[in-house]
Amino acid sequence: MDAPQNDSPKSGKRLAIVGNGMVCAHFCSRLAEQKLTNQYQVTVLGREPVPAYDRIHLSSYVETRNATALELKPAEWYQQNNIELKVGNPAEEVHTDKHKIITSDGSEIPYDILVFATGSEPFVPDFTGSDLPGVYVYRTIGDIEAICQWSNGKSSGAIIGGGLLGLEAARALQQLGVDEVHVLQLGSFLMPQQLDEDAGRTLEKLVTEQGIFVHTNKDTERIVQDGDQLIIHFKDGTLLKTQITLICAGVRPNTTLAEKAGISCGIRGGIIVNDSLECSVPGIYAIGECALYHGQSYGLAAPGYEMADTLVDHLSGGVRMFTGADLSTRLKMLGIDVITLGSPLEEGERYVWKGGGKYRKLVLQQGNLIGSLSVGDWPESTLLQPAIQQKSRITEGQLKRFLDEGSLWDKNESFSVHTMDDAALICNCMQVSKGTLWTCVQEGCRSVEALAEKTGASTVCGSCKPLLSEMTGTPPDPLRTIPAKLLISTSVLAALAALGTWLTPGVSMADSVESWWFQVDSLWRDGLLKRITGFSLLGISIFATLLSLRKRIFRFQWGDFMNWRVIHAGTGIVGLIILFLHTGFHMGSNLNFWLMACFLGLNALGALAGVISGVEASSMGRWGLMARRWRPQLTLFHQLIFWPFVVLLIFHIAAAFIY
Amino acid sequence: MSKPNPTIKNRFQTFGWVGWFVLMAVFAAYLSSVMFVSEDKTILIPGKTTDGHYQIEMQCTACHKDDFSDLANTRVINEACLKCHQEDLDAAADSHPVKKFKDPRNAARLENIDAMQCIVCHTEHHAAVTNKMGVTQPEDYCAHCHQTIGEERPSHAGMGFDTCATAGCHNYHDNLTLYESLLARHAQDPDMLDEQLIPPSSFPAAYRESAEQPITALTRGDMDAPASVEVDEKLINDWLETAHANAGVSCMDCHQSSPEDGNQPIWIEKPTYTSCQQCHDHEVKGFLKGKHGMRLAAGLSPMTPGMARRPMKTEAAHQELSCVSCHNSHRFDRQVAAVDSCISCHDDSHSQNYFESPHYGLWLKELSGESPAGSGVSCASCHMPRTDIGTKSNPQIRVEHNQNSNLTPNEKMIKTTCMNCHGLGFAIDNMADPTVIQTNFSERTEIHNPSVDMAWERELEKRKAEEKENQ
Repeated sequence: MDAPQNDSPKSGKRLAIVGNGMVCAHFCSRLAEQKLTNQYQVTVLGREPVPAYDRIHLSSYVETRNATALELKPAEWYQQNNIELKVGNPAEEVHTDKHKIITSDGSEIPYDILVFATGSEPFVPDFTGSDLPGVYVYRTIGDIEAICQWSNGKSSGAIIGGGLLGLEAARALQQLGVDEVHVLQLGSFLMPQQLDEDAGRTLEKLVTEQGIFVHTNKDTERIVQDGDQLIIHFKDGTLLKTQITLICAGVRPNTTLAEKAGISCGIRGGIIVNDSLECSVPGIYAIGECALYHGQSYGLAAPGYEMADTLVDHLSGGVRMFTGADLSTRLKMLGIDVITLGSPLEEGERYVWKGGGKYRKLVLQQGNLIGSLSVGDWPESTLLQPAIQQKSRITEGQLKRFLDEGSLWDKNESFSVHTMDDAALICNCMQVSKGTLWTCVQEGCRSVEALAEKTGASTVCGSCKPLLSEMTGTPPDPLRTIPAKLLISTSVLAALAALGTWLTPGVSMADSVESWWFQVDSLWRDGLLKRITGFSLLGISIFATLLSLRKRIFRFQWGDFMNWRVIHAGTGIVGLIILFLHTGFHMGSNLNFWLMACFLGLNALGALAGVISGVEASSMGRWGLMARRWRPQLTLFHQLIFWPFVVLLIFHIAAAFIY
Repeated sequence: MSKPNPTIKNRFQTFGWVGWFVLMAVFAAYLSSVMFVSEDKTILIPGKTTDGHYQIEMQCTACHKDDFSDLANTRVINEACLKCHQEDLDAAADSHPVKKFKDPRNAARLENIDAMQCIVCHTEHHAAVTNKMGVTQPEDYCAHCHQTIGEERPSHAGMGFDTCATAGCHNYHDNLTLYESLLARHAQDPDMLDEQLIPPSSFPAAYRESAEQPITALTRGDMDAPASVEVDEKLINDWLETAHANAGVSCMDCHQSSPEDGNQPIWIEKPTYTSCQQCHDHEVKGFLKGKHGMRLAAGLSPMTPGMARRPMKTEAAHQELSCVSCHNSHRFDRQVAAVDSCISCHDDSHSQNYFESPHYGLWLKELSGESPAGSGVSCASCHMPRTDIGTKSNPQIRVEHNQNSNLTPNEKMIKTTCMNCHGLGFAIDNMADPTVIQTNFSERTEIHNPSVDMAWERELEKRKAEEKENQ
């Protein structure tokens, strides 16, 4: 055990993190990535005797009985990254006035910045017998290990709580050889946090088919021991005899420590935080399940990670704010897909399809998709997520198809990377097929960057990044779509300029030498000005070809390709403006006419290709894939028309000088 | 990570690109051939050529320099323009010659407009800004320099600059008709002069005078065509009955190749304008400068009515213009050439309305012998006028075969043509009225141009002032 450090280290501020769960591990790895571990002296205090592990896959422990397999980062990693990790030594007191923590072994940890990541603790309802041997909660590796040992040779078990965790636990008991597993649900259907009654009943049916007994409306009154049996008495007078009982009645934010320290907490727990995740006491933050943001605490990993990312940004001087999190979940309960996307429990028009033991529901507000809920597999769910994020409009035809067949999109049209052939090229630039990428994903590449490093995909033009995001299941970086959106707007401008040039009759020339316009129209009278604007056009055309170099010349690869595209589109607009100065919108005759038409066509096709590239790079799902289908064609036409433009331009310049 | 083999689609794309580049090479080769080899360079023309030049637009080097020594500067230079137009400018006593602007006192004016360069005001291939006379400056271009005109000539105060050259008062280059003393001198002319006669050509007399030996009329026996040539009896009669036989001109005088070729002169079935030029040099020069012969002068194929921009009779579309296309060989009837030949091609309303006009009535009277020679007005009377190319002491009246020389602007026609019969004021007014021109002067204009009155007023003031001085 290290001695407490009372002196402020010279290397920087002291950052203490209370709690070493999944969110803490994520927070630490982000700190390390951002090199903040050099700036802060980081100390992590964990209650459990092992470093943070993957609680989401806790149930897999019953099969492997291997705690290290669940470990997120080994203890050495913390050491290597200059993070002092103290496991099995929970904080007992926090003195906000003295800026120090007192741990269970009595040591004092001084801090400048304190982060609560204490997570939550299982909620144990108030009935007698919850402390009997054979009654467990389902939260830590310690709990599971105890369950494993106790369940040995047992034939019946009960789970109090039919939520997400309860069903996980039921599965675990089955795997431990407990034949008769009962799920006791207080309410009238399973998973009320995520599902509505209909969906809950569908799930119940599927769960029952797997040999699990589901009892709804069962309110436990007490548990009594009878030999090696536990008798659960319910308030309705019925009872159930089991040999092991797991309490999975939900979790409560673990905020005792914070409350004791005088930090404001919610009535039902949770440390109240603001948009910067700061608590009522300055310099103290809370992230993960223990944080209460706008009256809501998040019992999922993803929002916790989002909070961790936000706080890291904040600590490194950024201005990022936490703005709430998407509560979409994709669960596989007992092998059954249970997927909730967006806000399926909100008010709105509801459309339900049931068939083949599956349940699918869409929630629309004013025709826009805001949430979906499904039990049983639904291949379209990969398409639904972006559609819900963008609040896409759903057509009458799609609704009809949904109510008839349970799908929103025509099965023959592939709009998702998951429905593509393995041979299909995802990255055209680097010639990487879907099969290749999928293999890498399965081998552990779980981010776009990892795939890019391994296969080279997305390193040239980057158009396939949304598809890689979709394959790896990582949400696209919202910042990445800014250049794409910029490209769309620039390209739309360029398209309008090209169209405008085509449709606008040439400007009329001054009818008096005394008018101000006569000064302006010398642009189109004066040979010198013509040459200046002409060579400017030549220059801008050459500049525009830099994009081609960036794409094709290996050594010329600096800068993000999307930014190059934006600049290329901007070049198009500038080119059209100079074209106006050169021609005054007059289309000219013969060779000049063809050159003008060719230039406008080049710009118009380029602008369309720009719009569609922007769409491809900024949206997933249907639109993204439609853009993906058309972008190569438009780009090809843009490139094809470039060459007659070159020929015509050469002869235009030659004609201007020879004649 | 092994890359997948190129798919068939990719191979196709590669071949597609190769094909596309081959196509581009063919395209470039085609454009090169147009630029450097082909005679038809239409696709290189950047804009509609002016009426004055469109006939010779395929002869690029007529205006564009063909040496590439100085690529940085414009390739159309004054010399190219003056090659054809210098004589006319000289004859018109150009009011704004280049030398005027070489005077340092005018240097400041050149900052407003570079009047030293023809193309500053006469840009070619720029139809959008091309006005009458091929001028590509706005019509009030005089404003560049003459801002103080109202002070210099109070009578001009308040007049718009767009009226200087468009109202039939002034021209930039040619003011031979419209100068003040001429206006004053003829201000009191009646509409119809007492003597209304066009002077006869002095060519026959001059030809006889210049001959080394006295000229005697030829007879059938004097025909010197080679025996191998079969001659139609009608042609022989045409020749015998007309001026050529009368002036001692026999077959070989026209029908033989030019001795300049170095070979023995040989019989030519169809002589060209060069044969005519041996005697009719002035006329042929005029023909080559005008719309009828400018293509020949530029080394192109002869003009045909089919190429014309003005309305022509379709049946004449492929008629190639030469001397004999109007002056039918071997009769060379000048009366036919003066009306019938013109009308066989020209089909615009001015031409059609000629036959309704008083001028045509006079022409019929002359043809019938009712009126004296020179009293009729044919097409040629105005458009191929008899002009004096001699000196005051030795006037030489010749037919100007450049029909354009007195037409742009049409005020140029007044002094040489109209004033043979009409007063100056009458002529100015009628020549300024497009409707009257279209009806071929079948009616009189109601337009009155005050220029004559203004000149007369000033003349009276001058006389008064002189009288006062004399008193």
